[in-house]
Amino acid sequence: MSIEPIMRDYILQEREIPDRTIIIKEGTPGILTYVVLSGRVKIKKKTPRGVLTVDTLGEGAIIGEMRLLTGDSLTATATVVADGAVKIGQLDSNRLAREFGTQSPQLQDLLRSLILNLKRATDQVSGLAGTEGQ
Amino acid sequence: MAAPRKIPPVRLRYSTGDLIVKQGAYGAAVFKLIKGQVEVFSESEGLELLVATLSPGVLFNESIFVYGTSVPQPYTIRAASETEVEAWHVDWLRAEYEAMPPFLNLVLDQSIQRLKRMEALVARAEDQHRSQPQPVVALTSRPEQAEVAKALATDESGQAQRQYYRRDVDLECLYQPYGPGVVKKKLFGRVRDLSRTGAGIEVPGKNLEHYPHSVGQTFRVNLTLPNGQEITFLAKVMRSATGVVSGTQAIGLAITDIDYESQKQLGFFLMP
Repeated sequence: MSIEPIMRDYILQEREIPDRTIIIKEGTPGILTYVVLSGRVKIKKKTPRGVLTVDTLGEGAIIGEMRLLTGDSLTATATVVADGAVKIGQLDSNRLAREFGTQSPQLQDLLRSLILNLKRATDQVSGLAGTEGQ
Repeated sequence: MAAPRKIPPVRLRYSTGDLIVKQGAYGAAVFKLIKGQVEVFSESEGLELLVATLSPGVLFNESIFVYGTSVPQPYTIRAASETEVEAWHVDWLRAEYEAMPPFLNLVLDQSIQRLKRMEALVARAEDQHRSQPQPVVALTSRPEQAEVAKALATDESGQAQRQYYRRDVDLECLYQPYGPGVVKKKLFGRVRDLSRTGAGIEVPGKNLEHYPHSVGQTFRVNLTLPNGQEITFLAKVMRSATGVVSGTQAIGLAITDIDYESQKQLGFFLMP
């Protein structure tokens, strides 16, 4: 994944984030949407057995994307933490949400449903890892 | 891509029991449930196991969009009442998707890739659980188990596929009770699916009058593969339930003994 030139247009501001800083915290509302410009972030979820890292994302990765499709009322579904020093770009989520809103209702419906499936699958992975015997 | 086919959404009506989507068949549409209810089944060893009931507003068969039309449909879906759905042709959805502003497209591409990765992880984690015996009741009440069946069909891991690859077939078989003192009555049935370790067969209800097909009973099974090769094996009944087709019984068999040649022929047949 690399930074596409088209992405630049949507970046409102850039931020330098030190190692181990929480960028998005699971369960909090009003999350923003970001792109990772350099470095890596870990995606962590709470499970019955403690905190589990479900994914590691690098340059070009979009985080907090759920907000685009489901609005401000959604609370963050995972914690995003800087793994080493990271540079992130805050994205113009209003613009993305507006563009999304101009798509056909069916496509919007489908994409919302897929994003919710992603959330569900991520929860399952956390839940399953949390209940493994070993 | 050639000029995308513009096939707009269509509304369709179904009556109770009507088949809307068939597991294993190749499909072309994502559906939205408008009115009524539908039931989602996962077919396993000849049995239809209810995994979910859906209410209006919900989508189904979305995997066609995510994994493509060359992947078989993961579930069987039937109308559970008088039902109205809207069918969205995959080609139309794809054209709409690709016509989105590029960056928005990129963001959603990423989400879809993550969805596929998470679904594959669920399947692998469930594989480990599955190696322990699971009561049938647990299977019907846990949609996650159905996710396994779905994800395995698309899993790129060769190992998962070889272990559980199950092929839908429609082959006549001859089978007879096996064991000391049993009446070796010749019975006929239809094999509905085959794997390295078992088979799902559909037998006429009257076969049970001749001989009980209870769990634990062993049969010798003979069948001819589509390429003309005859195979034979011993198998034990693992499950027995009323078949999907009325008047039949669906029997799930586990292979307990198979000669080398039959095993080799079966293996060739099952290679994707």
